[in-house]
Amino acid sequence: MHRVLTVAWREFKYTALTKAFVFAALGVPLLVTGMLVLMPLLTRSSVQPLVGTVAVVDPSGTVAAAMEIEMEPDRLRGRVHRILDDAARESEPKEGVPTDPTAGMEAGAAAAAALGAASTAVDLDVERLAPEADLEAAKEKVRSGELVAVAVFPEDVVAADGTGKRFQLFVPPGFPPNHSMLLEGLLADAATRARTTAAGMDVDRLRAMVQRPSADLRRLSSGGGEAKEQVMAKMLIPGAFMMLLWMSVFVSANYLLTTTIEEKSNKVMEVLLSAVSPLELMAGKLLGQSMVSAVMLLAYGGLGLAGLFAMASLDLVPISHLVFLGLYFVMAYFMIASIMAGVGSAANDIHEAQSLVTPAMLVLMLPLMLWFPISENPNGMLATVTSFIPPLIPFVMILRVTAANEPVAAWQIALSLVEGYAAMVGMVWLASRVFRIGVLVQGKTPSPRELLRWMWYA
Amino acid sequence: MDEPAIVIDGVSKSFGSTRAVRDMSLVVPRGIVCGFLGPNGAGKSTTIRMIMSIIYPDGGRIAVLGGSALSAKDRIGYLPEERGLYRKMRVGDFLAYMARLKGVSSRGLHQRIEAWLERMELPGVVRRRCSELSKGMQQKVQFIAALVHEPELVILDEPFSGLDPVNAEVMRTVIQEQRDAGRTVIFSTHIMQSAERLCDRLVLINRGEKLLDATMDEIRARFSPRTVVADPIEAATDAARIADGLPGVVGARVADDGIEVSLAEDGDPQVVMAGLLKAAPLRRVGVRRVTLEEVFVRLVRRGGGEAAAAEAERELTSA
Repeated sequence: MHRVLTVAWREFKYTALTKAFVFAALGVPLLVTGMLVLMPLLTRSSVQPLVGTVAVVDPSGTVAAAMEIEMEPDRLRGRVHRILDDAARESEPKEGVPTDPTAGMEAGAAAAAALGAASTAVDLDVERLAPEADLEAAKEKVRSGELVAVAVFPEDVVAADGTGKRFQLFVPPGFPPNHSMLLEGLLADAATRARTTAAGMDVDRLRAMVQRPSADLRRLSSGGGEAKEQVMAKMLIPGAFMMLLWMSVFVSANYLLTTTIEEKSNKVMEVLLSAVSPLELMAGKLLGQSMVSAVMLLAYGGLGLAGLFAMASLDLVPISHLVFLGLYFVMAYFMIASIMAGVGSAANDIHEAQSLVTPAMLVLMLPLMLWFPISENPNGMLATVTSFIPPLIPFVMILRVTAANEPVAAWQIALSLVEGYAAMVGMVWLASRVFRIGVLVQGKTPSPRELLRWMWYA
Repeated sequence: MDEPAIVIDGVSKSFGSTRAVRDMSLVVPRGIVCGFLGPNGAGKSTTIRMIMSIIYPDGGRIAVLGGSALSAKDRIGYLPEERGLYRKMRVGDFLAYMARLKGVSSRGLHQRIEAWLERMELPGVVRRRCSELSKGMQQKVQFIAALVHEPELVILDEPFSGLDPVNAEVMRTVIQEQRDAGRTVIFSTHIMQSAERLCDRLVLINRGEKLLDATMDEIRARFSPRTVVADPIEAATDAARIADGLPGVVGARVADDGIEVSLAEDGDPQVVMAGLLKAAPLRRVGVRRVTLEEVFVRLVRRGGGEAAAAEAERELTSA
């Protein structure tokens, strides 16, 4: 056993304790997370105060007054808060629509920028310009910083049929984009206010009336209870669990493939086989890379949990999900790694390995395609059938147990575990048959028929 | 300890239609240096790999240190023909890894590795990556990996190939030290001078068959040519004429470096040499010694079997 552990430790040390691995496997996610945190902070720190006079050419004579109302300090603060509310709404999933995680990030960044703007002085007033005033002179004042901006509204801006839809807004060369957005929104709202006032309506009341009410969506359970429907949990969490499993298993299984090929091509294999048996060598390599895989699982999974904790959403991942993740991780790892070990031992270089491993990879890409169908209907026919096809079992089952509104039948879970672990043992055994011959074969790629012969008659 | 280091009994191995080893039998006693000699493709490496249980014979039986090599891995050191190291590993880490696989405790291991590197004239490489070493240095590191766990049996497949004379001499000295320490060393080689100098016993293999299995003394006695060579100071033709008339001489001829005098079956070399010294002034005179290379070439050309060996013996002794 000490030989197996010695091989395992070398495999782990020379894969996981290297700068390349630490950077690729752990550094990149930390870097992305860091950027997500830092970006709004940097944006916030670069926000400048927006103070001064906005000149307006308003032939209708109504928009300037509306602008003064919109520029009241309370309304300016309300505008900033509205932007914050919009950002918060953007990050919430729409019913029946898969959430785009990047939308949330962008909205978060916008909210942070708005927060920055709110914390900075925003104090604007209006200077009315006559319609025949020299617009070029006004633009010069904007360039020189004497004016914050110049707005030019058409005469028909208040037309009830909405024909006056466009106005011009001239801003200085170094005007920050968030100031442009704030001012653009403010002037558009002022024009709307002027239009509705001209029509004899109260814009504040109208705005309140067109606000869409939101649903308190609750799912009834067949057992008689009810619970708040968590769309994000039902769509994102299963995919995250499956991807976590898939990625951590495939990355380390790929390392296993390349290190085995390297040992063959470096001719170090025969030296090793003078010290350990092929079975001990394969067992050590499998064990060592399983630790690499576990490190990745813990790093990425831990990062995800930390994110949920930061968003006070840890309740989306019950302990049972983590237990299932552990059980199906071991199954998935040893299934996939045994395929890679077998292929790595039979191939002389990475190109040969790719041609041998492609058929297996096509099958193993299936879980990615099954994500949405199974998340939509975790207890349906497709989900149930694919739960018992050996290489797919761990991936499909982790999707099902984390997505199901109704618990997956206990017998199905039990059967998947028994069948999956039996298949795992069988795959490791077959891989060991290939491995003990493959490691000594040089210069010739075995055909699939030869591989089968090695499995059965070795 | 009286049990032989290796017993091979009727072993055969084929790869497809190629018969790599045919009905091989031999016994290697403990505490000797035994050389496996043979041309390329003779079956030396296949035999060694079967001894190591890296591949298995199709038939026959192999016992290593009284059992299977699998059960005695920690007591065997092996240098394969195809050299291989982990390129990114540091030399010290690689040697420690191999030693740990062979069951060496980590206590004192670093000092042991440093001592071996010094012994093999590789000071200061312990922290260097294997890929940074020259081919010869890598070969010496692998040689250390085969010996670092102080095995009872050392098996070296072509240990001298690719080494310069200085490093080959270092390796030869270490092999002799291993023998002196009571260990058994088996090595295959093409380099006859190394085999002649190092081996207590030689096994000649060709086309998967054992041609000869004897000690160096036995080989010298069996294949010793019945020829006296002399380098006369004066005209060689006169000396040849004189030699032809001596008792027990069947013929004499002028060669590049003097004369060669062939003796009859009952001819006494001492009498012939004394007669030559008395008859003509000589720079040197002596009995011609057969070289291992000559035995090897003749045997390989003749093919396998005892009849071939006898024919080669006749050829060499009557030369």
